[in-house]
Amino acid sequence: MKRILDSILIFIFAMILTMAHIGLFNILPSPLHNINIVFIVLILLIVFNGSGKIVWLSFMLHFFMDIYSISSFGVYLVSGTLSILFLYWLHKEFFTNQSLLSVFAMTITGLVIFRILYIILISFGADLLMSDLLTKFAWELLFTIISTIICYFLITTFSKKFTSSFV
Amino acid sequence: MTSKKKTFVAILVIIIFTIFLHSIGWLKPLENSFSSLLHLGSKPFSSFDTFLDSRKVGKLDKGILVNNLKELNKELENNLVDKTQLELLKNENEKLRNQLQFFSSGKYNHIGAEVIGRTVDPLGTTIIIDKGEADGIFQNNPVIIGKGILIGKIISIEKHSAIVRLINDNTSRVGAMVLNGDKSIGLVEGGYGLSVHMNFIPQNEIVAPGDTIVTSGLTEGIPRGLVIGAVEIIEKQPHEPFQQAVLNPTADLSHLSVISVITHISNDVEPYEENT
Repeated sequence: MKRILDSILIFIFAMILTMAHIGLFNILPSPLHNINIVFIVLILLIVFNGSGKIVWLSFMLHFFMDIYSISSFGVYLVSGTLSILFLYWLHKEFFTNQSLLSVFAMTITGLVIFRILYIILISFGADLLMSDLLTKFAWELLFTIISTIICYFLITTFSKKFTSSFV
Repeated sequence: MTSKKKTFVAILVIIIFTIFLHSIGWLKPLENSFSSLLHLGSKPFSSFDTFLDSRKVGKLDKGILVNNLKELNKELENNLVDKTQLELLKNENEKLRNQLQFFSSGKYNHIGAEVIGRTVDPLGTTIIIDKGEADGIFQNNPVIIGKGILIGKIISIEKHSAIVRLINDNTSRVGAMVLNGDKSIGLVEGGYGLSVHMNFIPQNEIVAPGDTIVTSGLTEGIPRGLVIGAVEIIEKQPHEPFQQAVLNPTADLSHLSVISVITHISNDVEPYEENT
């Protein structure tokens, strides 16, 4: 029963996150719209929660994004899910603490792996202008790192305030 | 096999299985319901975007800015939200009236649709509309605004939504004609969402800045005579067989709200009339 409830919650959360990602892409001005909300949330969940369910959440999120994408079905699913799986292992083996440096390194590594896999998958049968794509990815990397760090500070500040040592 | 390898293989198998189910169409009902839910959720964002766009108009000049500020302050006093919504409805009404005028000729069957978002893909310049297969839209149907201004064509359809590839997308190709003395034909291509070019115009034909570009009817499914834009710059090299023109699209492709999809072209469509 708990497992079913968990799955429903993951589904609802994935739905809301996809809506926020697509919605903010429409609202935010260029180049700020390149922020990858999905990655920010997934990385912070890996760091502060560390549950394996995050990989399945990533699977669901990238499945939804594939529905919304004009690239071949599966491009987001493969690149997104595998890069989050890799990040999850990285967190378990190397970046085991909840430091700012871990978050910073994981954001860079995750996004770079995601975009490398993405480029490899879309380059089959597509004529790509690499300079244009790389510029977009550079903006994505920059704004996602900044946003992740801001979120990290907010989370650590608020979580400290609610720990028993402050009571 | 280590547990890591097992997990990796398990996830890979599930991903491949999902892609397989998608390719044979078994996931279609599930995808349709998910996409309907997602559209429902992203619609408020799109409306908010349109609301923001409506407030950006005319903010370039300092004098206009000051006037706008004063006007906005007044509007705030008199219920700003109601007024802006009224303004939006007025614009929408005007656009629909223009489109009705175009369709009253009876040459085309059409479906009106609302833009509900843009795709998040970095590869293309595309928009999502709230009409799909269930409304009689098919792949490659031309999409227009106003009195017959081409903005793109349908590239992907779901049951209740569709994706439109705009003419400035890097993979967009539309057969076009210049309204000059030679009636030069060529191919209008997009440039990564940033520009629109007309290529393959024969070198010996005279094309001048300001000439109107319309569809030639040579692209399957796109009727002749839909306005694309006007020539801005001519790029001509004496050693090349063709010349190229940089176009200024008639439609503002970054602010689209209401569009029409041409679903059927009647057989007795007359050739493009020069005086139109």
